[in-house]
Amino acid sequence: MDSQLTQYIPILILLLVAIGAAAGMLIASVALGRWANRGRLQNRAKNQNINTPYECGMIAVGEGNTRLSVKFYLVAMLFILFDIEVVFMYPWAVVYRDMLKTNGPVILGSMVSFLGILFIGYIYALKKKAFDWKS
Amino acid sequence: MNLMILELAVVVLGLGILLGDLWTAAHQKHLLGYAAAALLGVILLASFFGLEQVGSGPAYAFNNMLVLDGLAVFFKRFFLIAAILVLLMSVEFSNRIQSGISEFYCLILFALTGMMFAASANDFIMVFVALELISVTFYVLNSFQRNRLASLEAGIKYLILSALSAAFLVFGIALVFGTTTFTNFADIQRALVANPALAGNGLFLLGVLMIIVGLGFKIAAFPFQIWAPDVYQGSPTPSTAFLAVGSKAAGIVLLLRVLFVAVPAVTQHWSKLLIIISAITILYGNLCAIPQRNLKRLLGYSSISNAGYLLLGFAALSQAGKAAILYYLAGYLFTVVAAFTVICLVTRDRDSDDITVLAGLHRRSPLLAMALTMAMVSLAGIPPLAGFFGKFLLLKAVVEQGATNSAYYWLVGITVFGVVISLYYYFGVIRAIYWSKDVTDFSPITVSWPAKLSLVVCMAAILYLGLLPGKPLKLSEDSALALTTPVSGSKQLFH
Amino acid sequence: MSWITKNLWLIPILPLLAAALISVCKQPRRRTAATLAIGSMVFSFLLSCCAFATTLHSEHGGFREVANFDWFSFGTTTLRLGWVLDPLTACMLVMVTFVGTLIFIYSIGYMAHDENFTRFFCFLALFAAAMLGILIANNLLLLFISWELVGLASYLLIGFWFHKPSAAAAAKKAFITTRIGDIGFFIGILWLYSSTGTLLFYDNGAGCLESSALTKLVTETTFAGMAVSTAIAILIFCGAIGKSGQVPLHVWLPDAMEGPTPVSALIHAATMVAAGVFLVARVYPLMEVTAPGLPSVSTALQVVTWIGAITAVFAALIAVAQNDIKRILAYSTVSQLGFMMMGLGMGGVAVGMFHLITHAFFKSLLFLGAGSIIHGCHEEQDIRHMGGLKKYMPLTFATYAIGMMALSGVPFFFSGFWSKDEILHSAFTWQVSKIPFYLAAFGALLTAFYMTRQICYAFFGSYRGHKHPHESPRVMTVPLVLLAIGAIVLGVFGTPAWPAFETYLSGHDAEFDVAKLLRGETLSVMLISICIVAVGIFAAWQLYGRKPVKTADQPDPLEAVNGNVYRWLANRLYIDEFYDATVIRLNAAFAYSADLLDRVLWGGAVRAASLVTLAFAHINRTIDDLFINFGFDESCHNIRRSSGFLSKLQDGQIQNYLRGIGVALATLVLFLIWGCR
Repeated sequence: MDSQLTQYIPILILLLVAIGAAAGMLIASVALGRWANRGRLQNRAKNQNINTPYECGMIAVGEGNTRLSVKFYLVAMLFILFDIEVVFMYPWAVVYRDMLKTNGPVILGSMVSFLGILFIGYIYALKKKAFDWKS
Repeated sequence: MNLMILELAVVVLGLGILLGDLWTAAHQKHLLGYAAAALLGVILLASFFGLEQVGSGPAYAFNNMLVLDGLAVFFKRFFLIAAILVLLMSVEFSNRIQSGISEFYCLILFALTGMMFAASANDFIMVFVALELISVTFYVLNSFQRNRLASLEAGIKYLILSALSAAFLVFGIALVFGTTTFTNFADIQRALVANPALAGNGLFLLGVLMIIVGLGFKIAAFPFQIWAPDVYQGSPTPSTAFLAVGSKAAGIVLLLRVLFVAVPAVTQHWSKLLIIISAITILYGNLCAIPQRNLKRLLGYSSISNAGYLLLGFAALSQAGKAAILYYLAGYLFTVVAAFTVICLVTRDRDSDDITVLAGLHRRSPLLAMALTMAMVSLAGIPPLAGFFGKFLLLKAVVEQGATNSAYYWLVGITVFGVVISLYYYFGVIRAIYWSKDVTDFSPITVSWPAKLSLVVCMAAILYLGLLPGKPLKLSEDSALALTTPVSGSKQLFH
Repeated sequence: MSWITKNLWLIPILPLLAAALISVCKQPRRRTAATLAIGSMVFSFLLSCCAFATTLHSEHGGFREVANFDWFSFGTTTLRLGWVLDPLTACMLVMVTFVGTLIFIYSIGYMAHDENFTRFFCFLALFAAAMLGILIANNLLLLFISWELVGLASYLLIGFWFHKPSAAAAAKKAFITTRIGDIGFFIGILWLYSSTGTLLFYDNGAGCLESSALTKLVTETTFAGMAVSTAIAILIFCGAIGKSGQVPLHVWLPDAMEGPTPVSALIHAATMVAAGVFLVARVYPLMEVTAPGLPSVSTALQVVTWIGAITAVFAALIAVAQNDIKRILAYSTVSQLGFMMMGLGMGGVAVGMFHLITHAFFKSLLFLGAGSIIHGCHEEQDIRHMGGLKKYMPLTFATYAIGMMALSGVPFFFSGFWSKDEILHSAFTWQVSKIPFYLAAFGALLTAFYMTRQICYAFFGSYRGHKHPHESPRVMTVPLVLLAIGAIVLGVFGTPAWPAFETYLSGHDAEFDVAKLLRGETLSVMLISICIVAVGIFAAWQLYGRKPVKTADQPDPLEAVNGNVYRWLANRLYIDEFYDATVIRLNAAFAYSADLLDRVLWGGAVRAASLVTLAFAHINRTIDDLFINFGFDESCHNIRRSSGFLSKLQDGQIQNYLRGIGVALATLVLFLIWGCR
């Protein structure tokens, strides 16, 4: 059991480093801010300006995240779906020739059925006008 | 390949419905639901002819990931029947769903596929895939009434809690794999036999425990029952019914396989744990159900207590207990579907699931009143209905174990106490039907003939299972045999 | 096994299904209800005919096929049920389904104006189903279940017009009285099961009516040297006493007339009362068995005979002085049932059953005829308010007269003559005693007398009622005609010259032999019987027919002859009053003394205890106020707070749910570490 757990020690180290880095950044920024502002804490109105991100630029107006049309997400999601499916085809293509000799029908059938289901999904999206940006 | 022919047929049917929807006019979409139910019926019938050839012994496929034995066949037919009845219910429900009723049918079919794979799962990877297929479809099914806030809330809650439980499950699988280097049930069993020290390994036990937690979430056993009432109440009624029957049964079959096929050596030592979980689940479900006024929430708590009753069969650790679980589930299927069908029909035109909608139901529709009464009486465990005989078998299995551990007698006592409490709220429902005062609405409820048919089938099955237990009991005993037969290959390894 | 035996269960199931379907069908659906009920009965009748035909051709020794199956296993014991097809079952099936079908059809007319028409047909079908269940049962338990169902259905039907207090009371009386007999029956069943280990009648040699079990029962003895078989047989007979209205449990039967008339016909003719006789016939092997070496008649059969004989005379006496047309028929039924029991006790299954079958036909004919009269006279049941109906209802009169002659035993053309003659004949040749023969002869005389009286009152003379009587509709008269034909034709099968029925039951072929008819003994009994009937009819005609009563309140001619006797009879020999004075009074006395005991003894004790408690309470209260209240309040508060915490678990906040699951998992881990090692 111990021998098994020793394999995970690098992961433990990684975990510690990750926690340390995140916590360190937060602590460091607070500490640095305190240090930079030391002795100027009496005048609050003045300090507000000092603490803004861009002390000498334009004052930011409006919300940071603008609203996008829901169509955008729909198309984006569909794109990712069909894009990712290709990932499955690479390993399949790599082993295809070797497998063809021993398990021909299986390897062909599995990809054909996979693409078939994908195609049905495509038809469905098309008929439901998911690609139609205007409506 | 022909081991999963049923699942393939269901998938093809689901895709067909999806495509068929594209060329069906809106007012004809309910026909798709009927078509799906009818074709599932054909598949169910086919299972009686196609699968008998394999029936001689368990058959394995895909590197032993899938198994087809008596238990798998039993549960596949169970899920098919449940899906047919739920589909018929969904057609009745269609006017409450704003759009996409055909997708609702499809999702039921896809969830059904997941359940059927779960029935055959013989490998932790398969367990995970099947459970995720069920969970993901239920995220959508539960929040299908997207104009209703409660439904959305139910879906989100189910999503978050289910994700958590899935995380536990995967973590558990990882730990088990890490300690045994196997994910296959048979391999793990062999490894346990070969290396008895493994059953004392903390990490391994933690893994098994986490797997039980993940599955306990599915069957709504204490302390992982916490999602059930909210989700049951908020979801559309057909989803609730399928969740109560299908998802729970999928959890049960996986729990059976994990506890009795994969890690029997561990299960032997965990009877105390199972006893305690079972007892608390029964008490919690029944006690919390008492003050409920919302029908679906009430059935949610009732479903928790029923999970407790089912766990009795696990706690007994005997062959009789396993058979009793199957028998009880069969009765539970018809009872719960009947109850939810009635609720679905009664609340179809109203926005409330409050118990007062039942007032005067016997005047509005005697059939519905009779079906709901029968379901409640069966759930309460009153002879001669299915619920009584199921509970009787479970208790009998527990009592038989009483000689080994006196805690079993306590368990029986608590169960009987729980059953007595449950009489109160089940009969509260019946009272609401027949003895409500100030009934104003006597407008008759029209029930379409497929819904009538499904109700009559349910009632007949409830009566049959209660009155003529011989044959179904034999069937469940035979199916439970799959959980004892030595795994193929183990003999060669050790002799 | 023939297909009909395999499917014999369909016969009771069809009416049962019909009852179930009617029960869910809506109130105004009259046509559906009637069609369902009658359709199911017709199908059952056809199936019964098939069953009957199957039993007809058989080799020697009798036809018997059984179909047994396991109901469920319970540990090592297996409860088995089954049904049996033999001549006894088959002939009863045909009779019950045929008469039942006719009564169902008749009910359409009779109940046409009742608002609970569908409910009535539901109960009727249930009744028929239960009765058919009794007939096919091959298991005493199954028989008992059907038996109780018959009791339940009769309760529902007698109390059908439950808004009438008398009907409700009569229903209760019927139910409770028969239940008294059933207690004995049930004890008998339990005893039988404990000593033979089976309740199946026939089971390839292992049944409780087959030789191995019987020999075992006979050789064992219980208290007072009585054989176990005798004790069990008498206990089972108790059930028959209750159901078939034998003395002393006959009181419910006349009151059962409160139900609608088709019900009276169904209960009194074809089914409920026949059930008792059928039960005795079914367990006949158990009844008649005696220990080897004792050739005499078995004790159980002697009991049956005596009870039957007493009932026959007793009820006939009462019937003489009744004025309600249905009550007369009711007492007549009781009396005839006595005859049947006598026939069973002295002559065997064939004699009793033959009278049962013929009686079923002519008694249902009479009841339905009475119903037709009542219907025609606008719900009038008192024969003093009838009279001269011959003119108004010719068809009813003709059929009623046929029924009356069959019941009285008018010779040669009517079935009642032949079946009664057989009983008299077997009584004449009984070895044990001659007294039953004299009782039976006297009963037959009375039967002829009261039936003639009734017909004189109702059909002759002038009409004494108020509203104008009319003939009944076709749907009611057609069953009457069919039954009348049955009442005549059936006699052919039971003449001494051609005893087809007897040989059918025992499985031989009947031979036609006129010489048997003319043998001295047979002929003399026949002559005696003819004389008796003639005397009875003549006497009644002298009293009632010569000078018909003119007005309704004129005293009965019999009263003029002997007033005291008439009053005794008219008051039903004061049996009900006797029960009131003894059983019910005794019960009340017990209740009263128990109450007194309660008040004085227990009440005193309770009061003393309460005083002591009060004193303690006062002391306690002072202590409470000082010390405990503070702590109690505190713990209440705690409970409330913790229940608030518990309910927070289910507050709909998903964050809390997640925390809950986390905590639960941690608890489980801890539990495993410490608990499950």
